[in-house]
Amino acid sequence: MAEKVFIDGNEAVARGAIQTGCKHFFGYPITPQSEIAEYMSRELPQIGGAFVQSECEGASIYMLYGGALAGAKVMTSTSSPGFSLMQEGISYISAAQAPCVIVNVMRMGPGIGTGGQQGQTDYRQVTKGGGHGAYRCIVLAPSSPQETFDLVQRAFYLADKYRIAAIVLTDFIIGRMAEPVELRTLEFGPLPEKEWALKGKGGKGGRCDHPAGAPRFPGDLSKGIITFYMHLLDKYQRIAESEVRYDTYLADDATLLVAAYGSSARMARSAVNMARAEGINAGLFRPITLWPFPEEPLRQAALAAGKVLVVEDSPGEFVEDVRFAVQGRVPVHLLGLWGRHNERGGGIIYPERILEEIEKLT
Amino acid sequence: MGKEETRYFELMIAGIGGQGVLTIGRLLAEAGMKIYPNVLYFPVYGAAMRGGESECTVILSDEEIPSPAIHRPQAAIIMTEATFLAPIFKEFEGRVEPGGTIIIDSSIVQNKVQRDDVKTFYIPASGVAQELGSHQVANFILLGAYLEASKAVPLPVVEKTLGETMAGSRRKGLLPLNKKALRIGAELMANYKG
Repeated sequence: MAEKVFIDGNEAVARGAIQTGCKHFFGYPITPQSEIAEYMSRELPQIGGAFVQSECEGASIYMLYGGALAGAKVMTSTSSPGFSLMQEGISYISAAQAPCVIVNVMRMGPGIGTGGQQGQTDYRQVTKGGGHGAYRCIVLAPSSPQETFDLVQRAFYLADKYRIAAIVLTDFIIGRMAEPVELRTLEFGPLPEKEWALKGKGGKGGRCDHPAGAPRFPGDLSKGIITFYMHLLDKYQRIAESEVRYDTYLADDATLLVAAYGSSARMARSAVNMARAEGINAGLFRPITLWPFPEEPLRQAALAAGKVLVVEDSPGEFVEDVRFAVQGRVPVHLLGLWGRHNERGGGIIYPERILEEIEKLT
Repeated sequence: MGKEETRYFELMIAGIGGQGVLTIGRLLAEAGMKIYPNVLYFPVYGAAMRGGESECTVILSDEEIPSPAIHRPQAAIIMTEATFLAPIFKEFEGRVEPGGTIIIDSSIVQNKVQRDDVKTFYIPASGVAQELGSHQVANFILLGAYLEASKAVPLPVVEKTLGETMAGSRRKGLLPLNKKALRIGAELMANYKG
């Protein structure tokens, strides 16, 4: 068994990236994710890598773009306001299909928000694309430091496999909670050569399709916008068919299905245990990929249970995807951020509050 | 293995940024790693480095730990009356589960717990820490008191862990004082008269 360490979700991001061969990181400090940059700034120079603290997130994302076009395994991390600043760059990255990993450790609210504490209010922005141009990014949502460590490695693999930006979405709770993490290296199989990477003149490398961001079909610049989008749609379809991931807990005989992702799924899991202790057959459905969304498995589990309770630390965004999946065939209830125990930034939707909601619905 | 009861401990520590709330929480969790298969440490704090709300949860368990956030903890260490935003004492006094344990730094917190369904210990940690030479070790006195009351992790294991975590630290000169504070906290609890 690989070495086990006691680390938080932020350190798990950094270690997972290095474990899978990332040597280049660009970022700007922002709570609650600065520990990622701190770790990278300390470790990357020692393994022949490069850490750049940019002047702002808008610069980080273009450094990421440049590194990706050069064929390197690259990552940046930020939190909500910084993620907003990156949207233009993510759109350009998506036009050029430059593979890279972006980590968003969410904080609550629009604007400056609660100043760095927990919240899940970026769901819509992250899963639907906050930039222009109808692109898609893969979105992975871990619910523990161990899963963060594993999914960061998977994010790099998926980014390279599909030439796409992969986003790892965590929050204050997952980023700052510490648990034992096994430092295992995940093997995913062979990846295609990066023939397109810009490695210099004289036949030393391929050429990128269009680094200035004009959407073109790779390898044939004579083709236009329809070919470009048909290529993307085909790719998105392949991802949706083969990369959906989710987890269920006591869902098989559930008469009420709780749906939650990331940190909220941890509280929901406790609530399911409490409900079971009272004789209520509650179960949990936890999407791990937020895009591609586990639409079909969620629909099946929801139809089997007969009703759904969505728990998310937001006014209600994830619930939209749940409702879309369920197609109005069973009732979908929402316990949003009003379920927090107080109004302060550190407010939490505790398992007891989720249990109350479960009891009301059964 | 016989049918031993599964071990489970949860502790919340609440105070103001700068008091070392997170330091002792993390220490307890790392020491717990040497004994328990499942350990969780979850800090909650504001943006300010000093003066803001600071709290953390530590869970040590034989079984899987689902939620990192505990609303009704088994035990709490309360190190302040309130922050400028949060009525810490009032909130945590009410949150500890019936039959649970509340340990209070009575040098700082003047309030008394108004419940009779919890075990309450008033430990003058900051005052004793001053006498030891630094008010900054009040947190270790309170952790020592908790370890004695709960038996969650043996004191020597915590001391060993502290030595390991401070080994590369520029504050490693404080190690003997920190250990002494842990011991004194445990003694204050062992001899507690109410």
